[in-house]
Amino acid sequence: MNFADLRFWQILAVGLLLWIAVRGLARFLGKRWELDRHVLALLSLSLLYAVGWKTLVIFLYVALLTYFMLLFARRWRIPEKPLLCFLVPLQVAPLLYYKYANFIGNGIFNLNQPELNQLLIPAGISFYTFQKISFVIDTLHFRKPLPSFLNYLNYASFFPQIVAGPIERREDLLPQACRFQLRFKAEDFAKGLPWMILGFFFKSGLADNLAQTFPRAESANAYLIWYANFLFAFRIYFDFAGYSFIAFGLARCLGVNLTLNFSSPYYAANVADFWHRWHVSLSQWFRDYLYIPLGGGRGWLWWCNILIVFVISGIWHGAGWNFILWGFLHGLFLITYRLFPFSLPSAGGRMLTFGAVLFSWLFFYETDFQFLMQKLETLVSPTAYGFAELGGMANYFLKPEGLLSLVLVACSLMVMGVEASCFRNNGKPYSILLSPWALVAMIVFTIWMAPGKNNSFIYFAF
Amino acid sequence: MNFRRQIILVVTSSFVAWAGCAFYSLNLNPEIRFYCGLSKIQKSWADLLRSKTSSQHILIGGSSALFSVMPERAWNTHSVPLVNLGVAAGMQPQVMILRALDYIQKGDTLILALEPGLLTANEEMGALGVQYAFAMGRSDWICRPALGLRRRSWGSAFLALRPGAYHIVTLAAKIVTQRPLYRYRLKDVSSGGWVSTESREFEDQPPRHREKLAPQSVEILKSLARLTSEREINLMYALPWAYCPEDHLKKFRQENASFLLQVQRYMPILFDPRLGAIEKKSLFADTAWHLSDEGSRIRTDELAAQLRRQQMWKCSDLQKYAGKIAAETF
Repeated sequence: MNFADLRFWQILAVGLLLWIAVRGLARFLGKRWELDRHVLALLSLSLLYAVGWKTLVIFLYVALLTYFMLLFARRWRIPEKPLLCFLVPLQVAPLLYYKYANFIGNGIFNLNQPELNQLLIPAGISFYTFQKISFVIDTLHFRKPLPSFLNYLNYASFFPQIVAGPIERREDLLPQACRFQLRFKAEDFAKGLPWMILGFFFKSGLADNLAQTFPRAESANAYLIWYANFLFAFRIYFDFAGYSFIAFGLARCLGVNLTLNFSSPYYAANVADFWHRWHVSLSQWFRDYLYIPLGGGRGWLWWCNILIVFVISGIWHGAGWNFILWGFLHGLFLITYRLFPFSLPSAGGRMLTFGAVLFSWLFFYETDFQFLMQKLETLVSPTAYGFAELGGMANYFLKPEGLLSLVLVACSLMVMGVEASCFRNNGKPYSILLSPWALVAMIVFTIWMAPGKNNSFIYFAF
Repeated sequence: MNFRRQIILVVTSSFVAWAGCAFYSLNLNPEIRFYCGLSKIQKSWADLLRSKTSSQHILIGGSSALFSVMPERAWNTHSVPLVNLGVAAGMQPQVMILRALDYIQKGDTLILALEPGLLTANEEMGALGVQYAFAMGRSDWICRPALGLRRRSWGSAFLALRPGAYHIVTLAAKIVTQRPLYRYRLKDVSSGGWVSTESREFEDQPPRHREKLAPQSVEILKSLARLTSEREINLMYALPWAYCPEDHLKKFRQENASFLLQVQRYMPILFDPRLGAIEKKSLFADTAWHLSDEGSRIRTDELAAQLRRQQMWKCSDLQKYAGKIAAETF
């Protein structure tokens, strides 16, 4: 379900046309049409099948297991805790196998099993597994009624968000799934379409081009490493926010409200603020289902809770020591912030936060651990900041990809500036970008500048 | 702004932007203009040869063919009627082969001099191939290809008629620095369709490719072998020459031999004892795949001699080289 792939839109268009045609036929025959929710579920599952039959099978395993175990538990009055202890590991099992078996087997225990390295991570597994866990906890802990299977299936498989979030909560998406009816309202389109255009601009216009310019192999030039971090910071933001905005807009066109997963994260005043603006639904998930149950900010072990949450967040993002270190680092940033809350002026706090996040991205994109260590060594070595390295940097800018990166950085900074200015004015960072003439500019930019090659969304790998 | 006006604005701006992109890509893009001009020259040469001989050798490939084989020299010096249909490697085997089908006739020889990387990489056709096909008025090469090759939807093909940021930024830089808009010029193309270019320093990296044929290449080779057999056309593969530093010769030739063994399942391989690896850098012009004028003369002379001898690689010999090879034997 790659929004940047024309095939997704072709299948969706055919599905929607068939849907409308069958509905029209039913009306023509004088029958009452009440099958919108059935068709939505069918369309979502078909789109998942189009990604790959394995993707669909694994999704169905997690989704059906969750529902029928809850049904079974309700019928037999199984207490909450034993059920959670039994069900959650079963839900997580495919995620553990497909995503972490190679890292655990070959990376930690040196089992030397090459077939584990060949395992492909099914699209969206991290996202929908977390969504199902939250569904189980909310249903059991808050003693919520179990919805009908059809409503549950629509909640669990709603196609705009199934592959890369947002990780929607039961109380947000389920009621909308229950009352879903296909209505093409002008008002919904008027709200959804601009978000989709903004999403495509972020993804195809900026992120995909930034991906082409990335100076990945450099490990001895500190300036280039910082610059690579800088490019990656923009790339991952535009990539993931782009996906989220398209999902948000597409759902809105269908009359469904999803969580807005991003809110100008690089304008954050501190690290805590950053996590309120970056991948909002995941941050909220960790807060509600891990951090608070661990004890939250209370007690003398609060710092430990933060570290646990962020290390697990790192592991969620990827199977590798680099991701664990990335999470650990963010945990440390947050602990430091809690111990010494900034009394810096607003701009200073924002710059310091951006600098910390920038540094941490190195741990995120550099998956080769040895190479990561080499780069870290370079960053802390004063000799890596010499004139020769500056020359190396200049050489990079003389190459076409270096030149392109400068143009893209200028565009990215302009976008950030617009976001910041909107946020200062009305608290809505994307308001100007969603205005009609900005949309026209983004359409023209995306059509002219998007590269011919599709890059899959970075978060699809998670 | 109401919804109707918003939709009109979005649709109009999308269409106008795309139409501008398509117009630029098909009519103004210096690279496409070069290859369309080149194609005309190559066609004129093919027509000229056709008027003189009943059968000809048609060589296709990426730029390694374009910059390395001199059809006039093959004809004037060796009396070998050779047509060089080399284009840019970015156009992918599909476009190269389908274009050649317009030229070949019963009794001709089709020589595939495709760079191994083009047959081993599992890549979708990039925008360049689509733009070239559309600019040549042959959208069927992409959207309704012969030979049962992989077709691309019209929507996806239309979306490829765009320049992209990389192209725009590099073009803007060339305009600002007053450099030629495209690296190669039509005035450097000979009447036979061979391109001469100035020598300049290039990276000393050894060429590499995956040794295994990509699944779509297997399909292409199979279909081509079937078609040429039906039409009584000779089909063969000739390995292009690439610069390879001496310390990597052995490995590169081994890779090439292993690659050729797979191609040999579908067509004979023209015997070239160098196995595509040349250690003399002075024979190359601006990349490890573009021969200099001197290199092109040597390559053309050797190719003409090989074509006259019609000597092909034996499977057992290739197996020997693919398994264990000694660079010093060359």
